[in-house]
Amino acid sequence: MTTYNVSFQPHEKQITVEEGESLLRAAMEAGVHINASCGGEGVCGKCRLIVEEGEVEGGVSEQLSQADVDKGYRLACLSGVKSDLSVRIPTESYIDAKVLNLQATPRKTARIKQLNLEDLKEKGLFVPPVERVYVEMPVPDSMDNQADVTRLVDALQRDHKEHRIEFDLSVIRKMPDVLREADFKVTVTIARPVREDGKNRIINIQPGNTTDRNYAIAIDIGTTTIYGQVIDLISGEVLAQYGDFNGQLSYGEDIISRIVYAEKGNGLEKMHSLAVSTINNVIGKIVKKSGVDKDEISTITFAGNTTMTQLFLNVNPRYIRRSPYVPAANIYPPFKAVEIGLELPDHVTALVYPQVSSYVGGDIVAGIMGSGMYQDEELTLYMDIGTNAEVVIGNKDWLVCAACSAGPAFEGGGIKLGMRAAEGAIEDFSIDPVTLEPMNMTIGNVRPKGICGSGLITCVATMFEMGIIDSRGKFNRDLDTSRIREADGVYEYVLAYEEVSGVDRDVVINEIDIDNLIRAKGAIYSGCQTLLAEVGLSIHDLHRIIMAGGFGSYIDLEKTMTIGLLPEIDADKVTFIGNGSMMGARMSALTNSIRRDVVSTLNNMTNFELSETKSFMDNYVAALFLPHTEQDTFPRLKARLEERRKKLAQ
Amino acid sequence: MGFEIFKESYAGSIRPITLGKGDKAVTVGGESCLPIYTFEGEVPNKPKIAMEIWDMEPTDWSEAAKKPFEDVLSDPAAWAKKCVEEYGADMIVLQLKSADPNGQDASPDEIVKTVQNVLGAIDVPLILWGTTNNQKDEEVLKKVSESFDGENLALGPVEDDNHKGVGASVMAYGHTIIASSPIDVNLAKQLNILLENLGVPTDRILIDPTTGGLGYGLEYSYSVMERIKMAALLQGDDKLQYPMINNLGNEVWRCKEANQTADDAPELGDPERRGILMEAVGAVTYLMAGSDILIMRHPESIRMVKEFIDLNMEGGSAQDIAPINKQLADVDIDYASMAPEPDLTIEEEKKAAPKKKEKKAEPAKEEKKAEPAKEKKAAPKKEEKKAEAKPAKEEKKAEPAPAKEEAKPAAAEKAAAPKEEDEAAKKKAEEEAKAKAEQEAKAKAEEEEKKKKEAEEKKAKDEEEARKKAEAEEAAKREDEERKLREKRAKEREKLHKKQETAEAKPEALTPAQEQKSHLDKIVERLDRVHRRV
Repeated sequence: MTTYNVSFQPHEKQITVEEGESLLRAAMEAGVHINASCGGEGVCGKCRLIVEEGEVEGGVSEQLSQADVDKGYRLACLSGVKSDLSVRIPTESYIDAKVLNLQATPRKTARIKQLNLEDLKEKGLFVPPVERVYVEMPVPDSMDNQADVTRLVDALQRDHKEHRIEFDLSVIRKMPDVLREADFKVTVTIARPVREDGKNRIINIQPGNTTDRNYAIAIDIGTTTIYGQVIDLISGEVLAQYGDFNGQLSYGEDIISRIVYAEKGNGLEKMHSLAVSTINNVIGKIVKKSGVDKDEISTITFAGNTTMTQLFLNVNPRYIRRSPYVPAANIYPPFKAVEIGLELPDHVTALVYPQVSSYVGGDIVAGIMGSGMYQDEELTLYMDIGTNAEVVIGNKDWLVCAACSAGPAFEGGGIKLGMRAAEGAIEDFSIDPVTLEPMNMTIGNVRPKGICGSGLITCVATMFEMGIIDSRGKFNRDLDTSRIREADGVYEYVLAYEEVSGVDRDVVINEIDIDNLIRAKGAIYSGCQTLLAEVGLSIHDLHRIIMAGGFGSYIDLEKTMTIGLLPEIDADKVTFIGNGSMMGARMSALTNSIRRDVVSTLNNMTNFELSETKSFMDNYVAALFLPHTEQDTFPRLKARLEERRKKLAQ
Repeated sequence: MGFEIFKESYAGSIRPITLGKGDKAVTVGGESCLPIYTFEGEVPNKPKIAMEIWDMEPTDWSEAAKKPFEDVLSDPAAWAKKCVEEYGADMIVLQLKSADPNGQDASPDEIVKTVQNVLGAIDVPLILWGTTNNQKDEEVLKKVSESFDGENLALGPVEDDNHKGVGASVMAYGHTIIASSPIDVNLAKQLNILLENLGVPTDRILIDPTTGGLGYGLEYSYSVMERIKMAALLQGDDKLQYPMINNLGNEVWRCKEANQTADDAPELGDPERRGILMEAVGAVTYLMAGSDILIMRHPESIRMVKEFIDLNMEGGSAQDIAPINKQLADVDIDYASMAPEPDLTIEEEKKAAPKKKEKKAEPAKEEKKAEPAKEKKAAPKKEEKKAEAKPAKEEKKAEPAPAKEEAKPAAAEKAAAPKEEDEAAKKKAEEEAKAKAEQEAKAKAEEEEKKKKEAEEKKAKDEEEARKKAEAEEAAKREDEERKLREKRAKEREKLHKKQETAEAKPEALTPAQEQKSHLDKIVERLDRVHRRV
């Protein structure tokens, strides 16, 4: 790929980008603000810049007059980089260059660390829980009239060294016809046991050789969002992915209210069927998207927190909520997907990730296993950021965990115009220090429809550092801009007016949204702090942080530290793995060994109930502040803010 | 080597904050040790007591609280004057009760007028305490702040919702802000950070941690104040190094127990003494928690608390402190009749044969005979007597009852008579003494005033300059002292570490463990215990 240098004037900032990258994204990466409220669709016409040297592709629209085009004006969002460039951002009035560069913090973006499949194969860990084997056997005649099952077992033992075999009744029902239809050349699907001394179970039989097609579905049952992926078990690739809000959402945003609902009348039945129907919907979408034949799917894996798992499996969650907080089971047996109403062929085996405690569920176990933290020497903090956020600290020798109820803010829940990280979600943001005009980047470069978790973090962090909101998350009402206004008694900032938004109203962020975010980050940060204190450690002892969460494809780490979600440590020490629970579910579809390790990891893990830890409430209140009441624990931010104050005072 | 007391060394000190201006100015805070721990650090300014007055005539005050001020309750200026001149108030708090939107809802302009009057009547700093309705307080306090430019009033309570408006105004017009947070050390700190970020100078902030009345949440306020002081002094948290103010009188006197009359709650005793003591006990508690300014109501509790402060700061004997000087008439409460009847029967005896009853009854009868004589001598003994008599009464049923009832009123009358006479005589003597003392004092005061005036005019200019110098010096001194303190602390710490190191090394060398535990082992061990795996 060819790369080019782009320099931005008058900021005097440079960046190297790939050919075809839009100038708007390049500017965002370089930390240069360009007014742009439409998300990059070219409708607001605000992101005008002058190409002084070099060549761009496109960049012309009705928003620009011919005279402007002749002068070199282009729209940044529509311009693709075609050569080394020097562009100038026109400033409406003279702005001191010092103020100009007060802009954003140095960007330290973390992209999702992908699962390294090659690595797994090398380590010999790639043992899919479900495999397909092609078998040819002799056609029966008068001399050889063994039963079909015996014939198949003999062939498997002889040609494939497969032992300890057992059959599903449904397979035996199909077998006589399939064998004859295919002239005794068939493919069988074998479910591997978790323990090495277990039995290999034949769950499906198909005519001919279909070993080149073997698929699995991995489902993350989140409190707010349910994600699904179709995985090719042969290549390990993800073929399709889709997420949808959990149908239970309208019965309460957090797990406690769900449990309360499930305790009433046929509430549990209702919760169960809502989860199943959401999952069926997701399955339908991803199967269609991937173009895979449903019959080729052999297994479906689930990871979710304890409550979600029990609601989904129709197990009464009543006792999860009551002291001493006891879950129904830590380990669930494999079962047929059809048994609980999933719209999948009847041979599909469902596997559920094991749980730790009432509030630390399969999702976090999945994340820990998926991230490899349980095998590491280094002291690691693992944070799964979601509605029911979970925190794990430890290494290969010991692990402690705790759950903190953060609320759905990071997934766009409880936010006026919050949304999942889907097309049209504002995922990145910057603001002009003088005019307070926004620069919105949306997923898919389309008109903004709402704001997703990572967008919200960036928004709040940027506004705080620029002095637009104070440490409590309240807007500075003395600022001279029409974008900050009062609506229904609540102050808000308009990210995109209706004319350029992708919905039938203004896209805004208000003080309640910010408050929800502060509560969410406060719960997580104080959870980490409390947990560390319980084992006699402090944040400085951490070697690295693994962050998981259903954000968009990336997250700006420096911004997460600005709002005080992450402690201020070297950005290099932070790994972002995206949706950890999804990752775990996917891994358990790909390899059996991870499920073998689960039991020993579970035994290693000590759970702390934060609600019964005295210092938690205190830490929580201290964390309900930007970045934190103990400002000295965020020295980099403190220095930046002081710098800014000094410069502005000049 | 003599006995050496262990002394805590502190990492910081409370900022001295000055209220009022010019000669009226009073400085609070500045301490570099925990409250009353004068042996560990400096307490340059004694805790101060601000007397509260209302800007409207209080209707729901108890008789006890009204009595000392009954002539001035409707005139805030006269009231304030009386507090300063008669009761020696260090400062005055004007409670802006009339501004309450749920009550009279007085306008900011009306409030300003009252403040003007009060300010004209006193020569001590003035504190204004709003309604705790954020919006109204912001309006009123802003207006007051503007109207009295440079007076350095203390304005509060300011909460996070109105900190910006009031804070900006306080900065512009040179007043002091009372930062109020709801009983939480973190919230207190957060508000101070917000104020500092706004640009409020650090010598213009007081902390109101929210005051709970005695029996109505005092313990919560106490522990939060304790934590604020600890963070400020021991951890050197500069965001909490501000003096604290407690709006105590208002809390204590509005509770049920402070307002119940002798008829409502005879078991609680004299309502006047009760209220005064509740306020005084509350005040002493808050002093121990680290209060720098106490807002109080009753002159008697204020006198006692002041004497308590002096006692602690300067030494002396608590026996020299006079008891409560009652202003209301004595109440006559018959505690004896309220005392629960003690059950003196012993269980075993109850079960025993009925024969014993007769035997037991006899000594009771004998006692009865002796009773009248005893009761004449000492009225208080009545209670005891009655208690003894009662079990007899139970067992013998109606028999001794009439005798007892006759004895009682007779004894009470006899006992009461000398008491009244005594008191009348005492009062007369006291009044005479007072009058004499007052006359003498007046004469002296007049002479002194003349001399003072002459001297003052000359001195005024010199003093002004000297004071400025002194202030600058003081600031430098303070910094220097703090630096020294820090150095000292560091040294001490080093010493301690060395000591500990040498101390630890010895036993280890003597009996080394066969296997040294690593940090990891310790954590795992601890977790095992938590997890009940061991």
